[in-house]
Amino acid sequence: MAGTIDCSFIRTLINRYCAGEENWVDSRTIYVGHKEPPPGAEAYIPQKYPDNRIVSSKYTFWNFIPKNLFEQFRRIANFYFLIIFLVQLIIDTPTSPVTSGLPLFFVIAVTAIKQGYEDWLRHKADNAMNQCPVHFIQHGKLVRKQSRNLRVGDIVMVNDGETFPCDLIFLSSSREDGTCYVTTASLDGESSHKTYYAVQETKGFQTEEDIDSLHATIECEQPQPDLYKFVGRVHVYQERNDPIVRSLGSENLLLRGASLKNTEKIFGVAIYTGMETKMALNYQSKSQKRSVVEKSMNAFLIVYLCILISKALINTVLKYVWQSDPFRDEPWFNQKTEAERQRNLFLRAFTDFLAFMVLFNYIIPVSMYVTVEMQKFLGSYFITWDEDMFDEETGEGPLVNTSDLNEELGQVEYIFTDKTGTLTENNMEFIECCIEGNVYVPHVICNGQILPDSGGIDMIDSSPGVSGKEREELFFRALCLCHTVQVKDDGFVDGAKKSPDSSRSCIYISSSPDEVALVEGVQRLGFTYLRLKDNYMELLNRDNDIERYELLEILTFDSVRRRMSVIVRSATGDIYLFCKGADSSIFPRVTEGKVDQIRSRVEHNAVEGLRTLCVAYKKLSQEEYDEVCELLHTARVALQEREKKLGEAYDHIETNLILLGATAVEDRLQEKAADTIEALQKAGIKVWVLTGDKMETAAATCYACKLFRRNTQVLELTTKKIEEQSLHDVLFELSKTVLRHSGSMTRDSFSGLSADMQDFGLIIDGAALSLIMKPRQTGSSGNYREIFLEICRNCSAVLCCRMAPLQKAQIVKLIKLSKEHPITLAIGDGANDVSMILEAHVGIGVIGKEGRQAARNSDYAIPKFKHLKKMLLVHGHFYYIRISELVQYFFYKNVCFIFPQFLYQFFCGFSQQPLYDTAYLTLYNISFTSLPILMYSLMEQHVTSDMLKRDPSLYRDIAKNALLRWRVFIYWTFLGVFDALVFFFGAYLLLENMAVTINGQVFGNWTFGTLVFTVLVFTVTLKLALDTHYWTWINHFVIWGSLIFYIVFSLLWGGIIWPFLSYQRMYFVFIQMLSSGPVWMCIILLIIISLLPDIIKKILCRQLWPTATERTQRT
Amino acid sequence: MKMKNNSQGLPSRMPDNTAFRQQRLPAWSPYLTAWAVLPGFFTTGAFFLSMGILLILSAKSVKEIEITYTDICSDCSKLRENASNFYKECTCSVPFFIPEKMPNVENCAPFQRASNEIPIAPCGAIANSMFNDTILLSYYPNSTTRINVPLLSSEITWWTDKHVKFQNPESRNLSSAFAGTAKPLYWTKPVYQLDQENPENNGFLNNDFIVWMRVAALPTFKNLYRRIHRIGHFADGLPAGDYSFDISYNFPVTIFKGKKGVVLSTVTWSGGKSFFLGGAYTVTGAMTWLAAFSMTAIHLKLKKTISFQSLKLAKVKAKVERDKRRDVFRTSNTWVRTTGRDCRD
Repeated sequence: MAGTIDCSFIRTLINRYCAGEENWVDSRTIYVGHKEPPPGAEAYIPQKYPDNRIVSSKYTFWNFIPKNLFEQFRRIANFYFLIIFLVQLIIDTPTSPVTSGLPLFFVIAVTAIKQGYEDWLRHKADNAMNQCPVHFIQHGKLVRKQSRNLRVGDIVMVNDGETFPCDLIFLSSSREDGTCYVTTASLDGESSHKTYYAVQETKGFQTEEDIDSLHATIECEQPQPDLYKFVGRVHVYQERNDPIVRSLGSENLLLRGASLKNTEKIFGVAIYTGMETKMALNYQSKSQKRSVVEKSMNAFLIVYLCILISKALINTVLKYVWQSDPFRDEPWFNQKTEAERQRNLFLRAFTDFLAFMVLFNYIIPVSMYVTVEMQKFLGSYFITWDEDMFDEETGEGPLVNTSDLNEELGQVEYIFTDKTGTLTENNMEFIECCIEGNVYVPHVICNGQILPDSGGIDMIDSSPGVSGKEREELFFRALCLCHTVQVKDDGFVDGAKKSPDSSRSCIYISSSPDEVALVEGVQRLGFTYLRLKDNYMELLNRDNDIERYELLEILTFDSVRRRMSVIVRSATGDIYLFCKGADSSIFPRVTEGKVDQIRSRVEHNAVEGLRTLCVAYKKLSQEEYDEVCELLHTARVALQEREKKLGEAYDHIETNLILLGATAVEDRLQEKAADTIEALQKAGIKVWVLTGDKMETAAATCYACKLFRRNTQVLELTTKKIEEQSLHDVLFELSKTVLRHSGSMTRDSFSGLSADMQDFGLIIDGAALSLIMKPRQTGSSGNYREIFLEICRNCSAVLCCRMAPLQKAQIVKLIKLSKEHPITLAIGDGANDVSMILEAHVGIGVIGKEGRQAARNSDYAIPKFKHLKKMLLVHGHFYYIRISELVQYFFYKNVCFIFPQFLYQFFCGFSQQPLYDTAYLTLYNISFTSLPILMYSLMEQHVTSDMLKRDPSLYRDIAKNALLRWRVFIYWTFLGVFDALVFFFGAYLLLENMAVTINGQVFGNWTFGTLVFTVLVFTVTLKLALDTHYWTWINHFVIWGSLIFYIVFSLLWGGIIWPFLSYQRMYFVFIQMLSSGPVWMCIILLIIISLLPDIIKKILCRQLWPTATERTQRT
Repeated sequence: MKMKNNSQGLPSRMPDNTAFRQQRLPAWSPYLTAWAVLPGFFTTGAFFLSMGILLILSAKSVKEIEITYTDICSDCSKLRENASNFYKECTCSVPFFIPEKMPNVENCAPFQRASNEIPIAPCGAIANSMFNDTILLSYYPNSTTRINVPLLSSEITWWTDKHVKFQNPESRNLSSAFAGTAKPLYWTKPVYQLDQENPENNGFLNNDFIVWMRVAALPTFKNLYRRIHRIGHFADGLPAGDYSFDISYNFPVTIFKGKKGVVLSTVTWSGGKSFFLGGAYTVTGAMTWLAAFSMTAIHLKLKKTISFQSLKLAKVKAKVERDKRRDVFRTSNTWVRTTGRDCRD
């Protein structure tokens, strides 16, 4: 199977990658356009490459039946039932093979149909992807082919807005400079446009004919999953000249999944295809996820299997002890034949053992699996139907891709969320600016007025004077000029941000979305940046006049300085330097301006979660400018340490600034994101943010969504810090800080009043993480991880920034495998989140605007982050309650069912005499007691959903698999055994001692069994009725209906001589039984006795140790 | 913004909004609180106690005499242990005394009892092991007179068994109908000779056979043997006095260490003499009351603390309320912003 091979291949790759082994193990050689290199060049061994097909499906049409059957019988329960069925076929058993064969067949068929359907959907999705058309060059002509037919070496043309069909080496673009803009939003979540560079030697090949004449080979490493690493070289052969060799880096590699922006078209050559693309390598194999409930179920199953085997063993041994007396072995009325006497003792004993196994096999309920499957499948519809999780804006509702995990939603302890597009809308919004202490909110300006925010702090004068007015306009101009935004003309309409003002529809593009937001914001304040033309920046001022500024210098942004500047010459000849940057890097350089007021505003905004930038300027005289030019020039031409010298030059230039004001930009949080996070934290869930974004941005978002609060002490574990100190020191220092408080933390963490005390937030970046994850040479590899986990455990919130997709998965895995084995949930919207979605116990995809990769690979998909709240707190809670009751109840009712059968063997000489009639044996689990529990497990609401939403702390009541702990399981089992004892000995005492009819007639063994069975059916059904807290008409219908059905069935079954039966042992048994007064009395008595202990236990527990849920039930 | 989108008539995938799909069906939510359950407990307890006493009284009125004759007829028992003596006749007589009159003669019936019978699935074994002792009950009004108590074998089986389930093969003559069949191995006579005087009681329709074929559930069991015919001396039941059983001892039990005996018993509406039901009812009733009382006690004791807690809770709630108001105030700022933003669209 190709899928499995690929999976193992990926795994080895991942292993290699994780182990830190990054050396070039092997290489591949690609002939561009399949042209053989000229003779004389190095000879390469041709390799086989996969085609460009993406395979996510599990089965093919041919292997479906064998493979699916194999998979299904790998499940311990199914295999067990198969064995039982075969035993029943082979040996002479007390019950018919139909009793276990029919349900088994049903289970297998239902599951196979379900899985087949799901796989068919995957096939369809794969096909849609593999068949989408791709343009590529064949003999100088443009040909359209299906994506799956793409081969390594093909030259592909990609148009604007299209996604790359495979990993390409960028050969040439329609732009003159051989660049193109790409958004990798669906790969790593960064929505900004990145610039990629065509290979220098090939960028001139701009038409189909040209590109076809290209003669080159590419040598590169074998595929590896790191998105940001690529090593290769290209040989371009030119006639009669030596081939030119040029090295290739990741800036030349266009990745599958990314899409082309703002570039008409590009040509590239395919180097990695299909499952070998970096995107595919970042997917992890879709392993089947099992919920905790299923694991508990399997554990219980093994316990019951042990009980079953010991029961059968005990009975077999006792049988032979009993038969050791010859008069019992061969009573005078039942002597054995000669052949029977000759049979091997061990063979006989083994057959007896098997027969007992068959007799008691119902203790492991085959129908439980059907019911669980049905419950999960049908139950998931309630999630898709939920109108609260329906998003009207996008017209999307929740999707359920795997119904196996419904209950796992109620068990989540850690949430790993992506930031961009998940927490935020990935939509920067200019919120306000503060000029000299006056706050301007641009949105109000649409009425044509500027309204200073009256609610602002430390407002001095709300009516700016003349100089104020001047400053204000200068500030706006500064914002208009100090950026690297490009303007896209009309006509190129694609997914880029449109300016909200459609009349002037110009589209701004920048590598930083903040800049776009600022320029757009200023546009609303009256200043519109028009374009950069011939080194002149044009802007439209408030009076609709065009102002032109000559762009002299750009002092580009870098993350160390955290600011940028431009130097422009105005029309009047004045030279200005405008500088904008983070507050920390601007304030020290400011000599003039209302620093204190602006600083307080900036701090206020930062706490609100806004991204703030300060703007300053200075006027340069011509001499000063010349000096600056000189400075920059020397730095730029330096051969050594150019970067450093440039930085120094910038530092020197950006001094003595005059502070103008500050801006606040919001990466708008998704609706109710903060509210949701708060609720989830109250529910005892730890929320981690994993993002590929940079630290400052991510931290601001964390503040905005209340993940970090005002009083959160933020700990940093970043590359910057590690460069200063060693990793070891940083880690120990952090853990010391954290542990000092941890004593008080753990004590108070349950009170929920964490607001008053110190809590910690941790920020870690990808590089630091990989250092921690890297095994140390000394061998004590787990050491750092343990310390890191310890720190994390004591932090209320963790932010991981600069994460590669696989690192996200690594983090999830790290937590998942830590010693508490917490249940993890990952939520994200982009392809970069897929690996963590697959890794976590529950993966949730946000149905994003860009691509549905996350949604497709997730277990559940929701339209908005806020829906997570209802998903977990309401649906998860309900499904956990429902399925845990389902599981426990199923075991309970089968203990009640089979234990009397076991006891009866002691009274029938271990002769394997069944206590119940075959019809009762077969139908007990299928029809008499199946529907009520199924309906319960679909409908039950122990508290209302509103209550669950209002009080998230109720979620803690079911944390850590609370309802399926061993204690609870043992309680249920003992309850079952107790009830079984009551049924059996109640009936025994009634029938042993007296004639129970008014005319002295007697009852036989079938009446005895029927009496036990009747009490059994009523008791287990009423037990469920007692546990039901949500009685809709459906519950009434199924509960009372099943009881009535049982009675009607028994009347019919015993009321007629059924011609197709070889025996008529049940004839009139039920009716005769009911004609006896004492039997009625006995039935009532036994039901009440069986139910009483449970009722009393429930009431006492509720009175003495009520859970939070029970407290809310009372009100 | 939302409003706008809607008015644009976006094709909505909005699911049907039925109460069922939204899990909002009207429902009754009962909770097992002490307060709700206590009345039920008291009523159940009262019902059970009274039922128990009634059942005990009724069981007490049943008269029962039990005679195990395995040991009394030890000679016969020994004889039967050896299979070669199977066809030898053996009878024994068991005298006994009924101290007071047994009323309800109509239903008075002796029971047959045997021990350690193993039912084995193929019904051949059951039939094979059919009980074949015959028991005659005699009354001695004085030491010389002996009156045979008339015993009826009719109506000792279920009506349906006798009239529907068991049927003789269609034939003029029973013996010819069963021609070509062999009697079960341990039977002394073939099935068509079970009762040659009464054709209604012969063959498969033989009452004793039908009773035997209703296989007992438990190793210790009673089967109905005969009921007393209410005529003559016995019109009002068995008068007090001396009696004896004359038993032709055929059914071997000592081979498997079993015992057999005869029970003379009356029956009432609640069956024979057994205190099980009555006792169980009484005990359960008492337990229920006990539980109810203790729960009431706990409830009253907790009430104090609960009211104290709820006071505290109310305070906390008030605080939360205050905090919320603060939150509302804070969010109202953002709200202004949002609306401001929306108006440009």
